[in-house]
Amino acid sequence: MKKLIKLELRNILKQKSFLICLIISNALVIIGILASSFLNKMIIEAGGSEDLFLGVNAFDTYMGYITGGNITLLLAIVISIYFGSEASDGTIKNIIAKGYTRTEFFTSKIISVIFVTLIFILTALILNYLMCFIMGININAFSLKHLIQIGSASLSILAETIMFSALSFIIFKTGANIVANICIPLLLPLALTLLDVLSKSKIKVSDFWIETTTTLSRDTSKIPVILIVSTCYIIVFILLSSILTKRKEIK
Amino acid sequence: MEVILKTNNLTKKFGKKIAVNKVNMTINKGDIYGFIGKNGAGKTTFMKMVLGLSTPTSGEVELFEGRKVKEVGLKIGSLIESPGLYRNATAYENMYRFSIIFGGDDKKIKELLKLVGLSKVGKKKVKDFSLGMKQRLGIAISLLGDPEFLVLDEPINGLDPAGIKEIRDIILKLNKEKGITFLISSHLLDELSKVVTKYGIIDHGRLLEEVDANELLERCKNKLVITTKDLEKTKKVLKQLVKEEDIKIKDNNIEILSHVKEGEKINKLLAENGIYASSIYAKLESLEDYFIDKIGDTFEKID
Repeated sequence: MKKLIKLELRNILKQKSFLICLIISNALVIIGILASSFLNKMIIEAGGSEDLFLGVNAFDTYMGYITGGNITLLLAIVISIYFGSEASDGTIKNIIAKGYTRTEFFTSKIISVIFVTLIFILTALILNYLMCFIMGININAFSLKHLIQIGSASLSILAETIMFSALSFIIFKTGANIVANICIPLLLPLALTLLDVLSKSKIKVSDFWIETTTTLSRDTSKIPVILIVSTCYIIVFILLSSILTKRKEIK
Repeated sequence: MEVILKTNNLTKKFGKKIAVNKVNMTINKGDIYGFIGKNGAGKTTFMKMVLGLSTPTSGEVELFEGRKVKEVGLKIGSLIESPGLYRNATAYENMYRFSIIFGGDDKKIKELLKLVGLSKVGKKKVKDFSLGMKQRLGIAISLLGDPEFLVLDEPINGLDPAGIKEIRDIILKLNKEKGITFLISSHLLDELSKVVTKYGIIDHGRLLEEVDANELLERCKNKLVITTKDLEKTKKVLKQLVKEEDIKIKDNNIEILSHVKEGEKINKLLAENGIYASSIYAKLESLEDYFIDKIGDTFEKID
């Protein structure tokens, strides 16, 4: 299993789309900070209040980025290609034929996906604070509370990437993986909101959509909800993929 | 003798279609088992079940004296259909990645790349390889970790005659020097016959026959072809001398699988019974003729 994880880590880190998406992700962090910094300076130069600029800090820009959806969109692409290329290249059969089970194979892939997700989250964090320092944006506002908020947002993103992985392993075709992993986060929340409106129920199912919970991570009172929902997503999607792929024919 | 592979009533169904039907196959250590059958006969499906890539509908696969593929997977090398390769990586990188789980170091990788004639491809990516080069790399990967049993599905597909000879020599060398056991499927019967020690003939999912290469050669040699006007009457008369199962009517001739050297005696017997043969001759049947006779279709021939 250890060797399989080593192989999978090498596979994902050597994947071109990983590098491209990581560059795009970090470029978005830089562009976001530059844009907000220049915008605020323009407002001040135009005679606006300096309070506006003081209201922006490194923690807010970071949380705005990781809960904004761009990072999960980029991860969805990386994961879709990562699983899809395994199918199109036919390399999975070399691994299964060596006696590894589909569950071991999927587990090693999940570990690689978690590792890559953490790389995305951490590089964005480091770059965000570095850019804020360079641009003179307040970086002092970092406390345990902030750490918990970042942690819960990260867990929520991890749950989402595990969902993408599970769907990709079930579908196992690059094109279809990308379509599913991009369309589902776009269309499902709309469908769930519509369901809430039509059902007029007090419990809104759309609140339990993983992306919705990610955006809640700024509110510390919602952190238990985020933890529960994220854990449920992780368990459900790992189980689902294990069951559906247990007897999968390898082409 | 150690049994490397034993299948017991191995069956695979896809809906109502039976792809592999109660196959009982035995491969002993040191065998080079040639698995023969036309397209869609069930060869690849069978091999996939052996390797755990496909789950049998019923039946069992026993490897290395009753063990499962999960337990002995590292002792098995395989090349099923098109080789599984990382398209955006070089030959060396592909070997390196698989060596992580299969075993093997830098020296071994270079040695295997040299063995299959890919030591000079440099930084060329696999996606730019020819079909033959991919096939060679697939074989090199299957040899990583020094497997004791190699399952090769159409290993010489896409190779030129020189490449085919090289692969044939590699198979024979590995079998002789390292005692590696092979299960090989191929359409190229002439090529297969140069390495195989045992044959298995599959058709419509059923294993029709398992036969030793030497025994098969014997069978191919023994044939007497008789041409007469009344085949049924000839057959009736021949039964006095030859066993019924050794007499066959084929292409307006009668073929006798025994008494090949007794043409004179048979001619005399026919004449005594009022049958005059227009020709009697001994025929050496080719392997291809034998398999076509068994399976009833044509195979690809190599130039």
